[in-house]
Amino acid sequence: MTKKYEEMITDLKEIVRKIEDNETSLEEMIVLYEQGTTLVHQCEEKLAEVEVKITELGRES
Amino acid sequence: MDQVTLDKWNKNQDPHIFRVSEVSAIISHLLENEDLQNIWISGEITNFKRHSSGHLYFSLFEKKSGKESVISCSIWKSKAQYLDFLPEDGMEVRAYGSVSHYEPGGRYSFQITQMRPSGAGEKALLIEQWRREMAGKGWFNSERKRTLPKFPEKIGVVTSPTGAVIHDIENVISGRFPAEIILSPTIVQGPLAHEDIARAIGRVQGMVDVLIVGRGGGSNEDLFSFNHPVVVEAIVNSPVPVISAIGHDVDITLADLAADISASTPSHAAELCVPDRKSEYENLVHLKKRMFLRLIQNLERSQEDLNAVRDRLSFFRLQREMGIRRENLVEISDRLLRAGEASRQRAHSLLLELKGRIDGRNPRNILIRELPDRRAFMIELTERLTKSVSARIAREKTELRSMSAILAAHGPKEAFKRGYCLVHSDGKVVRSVCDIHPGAMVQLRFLNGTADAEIRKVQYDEKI
Repeated sequence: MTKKYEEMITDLKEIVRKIEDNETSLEEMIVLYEQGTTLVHQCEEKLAEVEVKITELGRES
Repeated sequence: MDQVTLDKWNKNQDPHIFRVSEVSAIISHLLENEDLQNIWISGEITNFKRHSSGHLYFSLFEKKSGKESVISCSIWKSKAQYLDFLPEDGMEVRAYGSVSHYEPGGRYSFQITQMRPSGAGEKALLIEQWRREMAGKGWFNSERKRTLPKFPEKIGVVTSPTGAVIHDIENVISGRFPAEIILSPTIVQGPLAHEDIARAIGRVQGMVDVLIVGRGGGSNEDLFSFNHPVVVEAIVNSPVPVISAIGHDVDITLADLAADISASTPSHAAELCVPDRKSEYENLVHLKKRMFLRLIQNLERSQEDLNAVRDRLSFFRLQREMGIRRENLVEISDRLLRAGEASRQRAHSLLLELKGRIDGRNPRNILIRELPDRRAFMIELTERLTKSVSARIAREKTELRSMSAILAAHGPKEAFKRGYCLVHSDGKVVRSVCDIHPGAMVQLRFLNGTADAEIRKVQYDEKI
């Protein structure tokens, strides 16, 4: 199950916050940057899904 | 049946006499005519009264060609509770029911089972009534309004499955953001539409993150169901935020007032529902840029730090550094030496000063210095003491002499000389004749000796 777009954006924002924190070491920063770029890529893929799925409920349900 | 007249009354002794119950039954039978059963009547409400039992009593009134007609009506409590408006005097209504005869009261009335306002003005009045009630319940309060989820995954749409609304919403959402639409189909107009809409809203709950309730443009009559309390209540009770998109921009239904957000059209509702893909891409690019810039900045700063350290560790730099430090050391030791000599001299003079001050406080030295003075003082004191003591002794001697003379004048010797003697008994001086008794031995003391004597007789003076 892939993550929801909202969760990925939230995670990404947290990573950016940590990278911009002066306390973060260069080593941590490089790891975070790799995670961040992966998330950006996943978000872009999610946005690229053009198909809209429509489900119609039955009236009796 | 022959008409009964006074003439006949007199002549005919046995006319048919109806009982009240018989006539009442005939009236009931006549009123049960099918023309008067299960019919719709339109008219204006007058004399409206709500009985404390919950039954409603009023009349339906019509004035036609100057002639006024009135039918008395009643609605039992069991039917009155299903009325979706409050009847009032002057209201034009259509009522469905049957005429019936109330035999114990001798009255007929139109028993109503359904009633609704008639005419456009009446519907507006009804909506206004509903609006007041819902406002009273707080359904339109701004603090009830919820914010929409930013990235909904599943979007519920309550609308007609065949109308343009669902297509508009689908088009807008597919162009903006990947999300799933769950259509909960309903009819959107007609006398029973309100119940269908409310059911459709209820059916989709628990499956979606946000809900759009939509209908295309139409007349006020077409949109009427979206004012109905059951629809508005379903919106109010929705656990997820509701976007209403009913009719055109100018149409405002009670469902719009109760929704968390009212959109002007179904397309607008879809836009409010999901973010735009384009702005999301831009946001991602922006975040990526921020991460990258920060990383590069940090890398450059680390490089600079490294260079600085390397520079500080280079051989020439170290040598230069050591030269400077050696010079510093020499200068410091010189300053220490100079400072040492100066402080030694300062300490010596301080020592001398202190010694002088200590010598000044030595008790022996003080004594040697002060002894002559003290000795002279002692001699003076002794002289003064001697003088005052001999004067005192002379004064005491004089005093003593004069006192002896006085004593001698009053002493026993002078008395003895004059012939008195002192009588002792058992070592005590006898001062009263009561102290002795005949036969007692006493000593007599004279100036020049003593004599023992025995008392022969004791004689008291008469005065005693």
